Amino acid sequence: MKTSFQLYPEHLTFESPFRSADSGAEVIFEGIVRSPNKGKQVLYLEFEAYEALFGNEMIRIATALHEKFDLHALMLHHRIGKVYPGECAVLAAVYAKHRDHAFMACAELMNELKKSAPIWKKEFHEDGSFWVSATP
Amino acid sequence: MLRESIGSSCWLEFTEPKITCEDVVFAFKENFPMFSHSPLRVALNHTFANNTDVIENASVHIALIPPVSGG
Repeated sequence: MKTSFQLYPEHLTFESPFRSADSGAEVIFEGIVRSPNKGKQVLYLEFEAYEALFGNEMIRIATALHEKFDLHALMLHHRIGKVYPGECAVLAAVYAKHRDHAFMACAELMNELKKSAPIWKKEFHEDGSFWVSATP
Repeated sequence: MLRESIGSSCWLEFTEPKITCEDVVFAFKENFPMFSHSPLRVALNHTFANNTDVIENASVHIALIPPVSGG
């Protein structure tokens, strides 16, 4: 299985290095910074990551997904630094022979990312900021 | 996230020859009580470890990981 895991300090755009005739399904997910969030206007999010652990954890997640769904390729690119409402914060793409496996694998990839990828975000508003604590 | 409160690294002293990841978390929370209710995981040499994993080598890179919020 081919993989690509990256942390980007700049704008994320989707390019498909893994598209091939073998893979009948390509499922792409883009996570966009939302505003308002819980009734408050968001100025921007600031993402931090622990890069060495991110790489190892993504390999673990991808290996488990490959064993479960027989994937051809998997890509996960995440922004770090300031990301503004309407911009892409995370980009995931999954390639498999058929769409059912690709859909399920992409959803599970995002669930696993949110559960254990060592990335943190701070939400900034007009009146302050706070670290978002999602998953212990 | 932790760095914002305590800086990029800290010293914890142990007298026992072998300690577990759980011991590290316990000692950290004793030294920094503001994190006493925060669930923390441990990574050894850039890989997540279990609470019961033993740390024998002083050169191991230990990181405490607070709740994540990527995506």
